[in-house]
Amino acid sequence: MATPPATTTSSWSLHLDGARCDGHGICAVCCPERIYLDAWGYAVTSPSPLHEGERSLARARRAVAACPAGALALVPSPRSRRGPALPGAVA
Amino acid sequence: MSYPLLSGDQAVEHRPLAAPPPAPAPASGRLGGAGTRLLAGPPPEAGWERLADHMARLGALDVRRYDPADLRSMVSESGLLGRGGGQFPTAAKLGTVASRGDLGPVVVVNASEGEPASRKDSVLLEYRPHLVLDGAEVAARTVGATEVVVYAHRARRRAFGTVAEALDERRSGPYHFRLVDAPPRYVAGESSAIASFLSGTGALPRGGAPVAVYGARGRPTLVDNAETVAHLALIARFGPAWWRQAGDDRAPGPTLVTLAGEVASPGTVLELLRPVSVGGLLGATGSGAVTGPAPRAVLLGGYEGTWVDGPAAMAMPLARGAAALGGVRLGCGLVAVLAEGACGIATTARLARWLAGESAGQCGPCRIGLPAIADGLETLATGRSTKSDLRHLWRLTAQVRGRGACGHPSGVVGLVESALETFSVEVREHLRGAACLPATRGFPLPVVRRP
Ligand SMILES: Cc1cc2nc3c(=O)[nH]c(=O)nc-3n(C[C@H](O)[C@H](O)[C@H](O)COP(=O)(O)O)c2cc1C
Ligand code: SF4
Ligand code: SF4
Repeated sequence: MATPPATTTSSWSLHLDGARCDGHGICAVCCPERIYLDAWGYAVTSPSPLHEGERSLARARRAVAACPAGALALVPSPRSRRGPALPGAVA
Repeated sequence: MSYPLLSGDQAVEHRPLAAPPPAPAPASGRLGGAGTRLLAGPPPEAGWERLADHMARLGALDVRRYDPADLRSMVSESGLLGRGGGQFPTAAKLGTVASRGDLGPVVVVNASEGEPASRKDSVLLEYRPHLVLDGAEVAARTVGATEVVVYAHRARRRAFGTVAEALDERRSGPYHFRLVDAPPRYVAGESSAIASFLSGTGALPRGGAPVAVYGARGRPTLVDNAETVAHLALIARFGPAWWRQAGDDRAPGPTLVTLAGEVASPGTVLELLRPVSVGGLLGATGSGAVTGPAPRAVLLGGYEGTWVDGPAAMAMPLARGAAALGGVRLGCGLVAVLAEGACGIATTARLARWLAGESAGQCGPCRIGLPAIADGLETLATGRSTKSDLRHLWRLTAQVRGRGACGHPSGVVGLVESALETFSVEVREHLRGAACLPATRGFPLPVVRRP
């Protein structure tokens, strides 16, 4: 889940699979500007896009890689219905 | 209007179902009633309409004679919005699945009707099963599927049994139909939960790609409500122009509602034929007549719907499409009347407690947040809340809105916040220590399973 599928997209948004998030909280340490924890310790992500070359994108990538539950993904932004199946989708 | 056939040999003419009803057209009708479209046909006493009678009344429908692209443009012209609660444009969803037609798409007729007080989907299955099955074939033809799943609860015994018999009558058709018993849980009716269930795991919602892209066993999956699918059968037969004669431009087409609560016959399913206010609907029909004095409030759209103050609701135009309702969604079509004198906060506390227990328990904010919201409402209803408890309750709902892998938490938050606003007078009395029990008569309260 660490690397999103290769596309030509240059902007991304953080996608959180609420069913996988266990509230470990490491993500919020990695990327505090886009992820905070609610009163119960579960992650809340900001939907605003992250652009290639931005510092925040690098930090968001670190958060995705660090999440022990595999709950985070970077998806092409704006989220396209016809885009690649999101990495979080498993049957 | 005519659409060319695939083979090009003969055009499909859309003939009107019947002469237009005499003016003034009725605003609504029940099963077999004048002017109805979905509910047209024999009266309830006649039982379910067999395949031979259904074909004699509406004509045969061989969907293989239609071009899938034509079917899609007909649905697009109709402006049909999904009747399962989300009001998503059906043509757009058909398009997404059709664009992946080479990946072996599946069509699911969502007839699970998890809303305990709703009956509209069950009435279609119990009396007009072939209309629903025709519509499923239209959907399958449009997206290029050969497999159709009818997803329903065996616990709704008459509906489940009737579809099973109706499926027996059409064994020889071009589509492979399967009737699947839905597991008993409110969220089991959510589209990604259905896809998970059909993939062999539990009926649990999941995040990730929409089921139209990645659904049952990884295949593109069209999940459409049973009523939505029945509309497809009419649109394909008689054309979008005919279908749009019902409703109005902002909310086209007929729509089904279930009346519940403090009305003469709760459980009545009506087909709305033109815009009508809640008051007009309740007053016009014997079965909808409010039994007591003017209602305190009306719950529109189901247990995850919206409370509206009685007088405001009575004047509110009731139709599909958010604009027609002043922003209130018709959701699953439930119109539930709370009597004057009944406590909306205590009633909502009971609904919230039940809904909290129906969570799949996968997502923290839903698993922890919904019981906390139910606790807050119960404390309020029993007169033990302070102003700061009430502020905390509002913070909880704000924290839970939009969270989790499915729409369940947001649905509960919508219900609870509309209750706190609609019943502000009651809230103030509770803050002064008044204690209430939920309405015991009339209003349809779910039975809460205590662990
Ligand atoms: C918690 C939850 C429960 C749902 N239950 C049902 C249901 O019982 N029946 C139904 O048709 N749709 C239900 N839905 C909506 C479905 O996810 C889906 O949107 C719908 O079946 C699509 O059909 P439509 O486009 O025809 O409305 C539910 C959604 C949620 C979030
Ligand atoms: S690290 Fe992963 S599991 Fe932990 S809070 Fe963040 S998203 Fe949730
Ligand atoms: S939000 Fe609630 S009901 Fe939906 S998947 Fe998560 S736990 Fe289940």
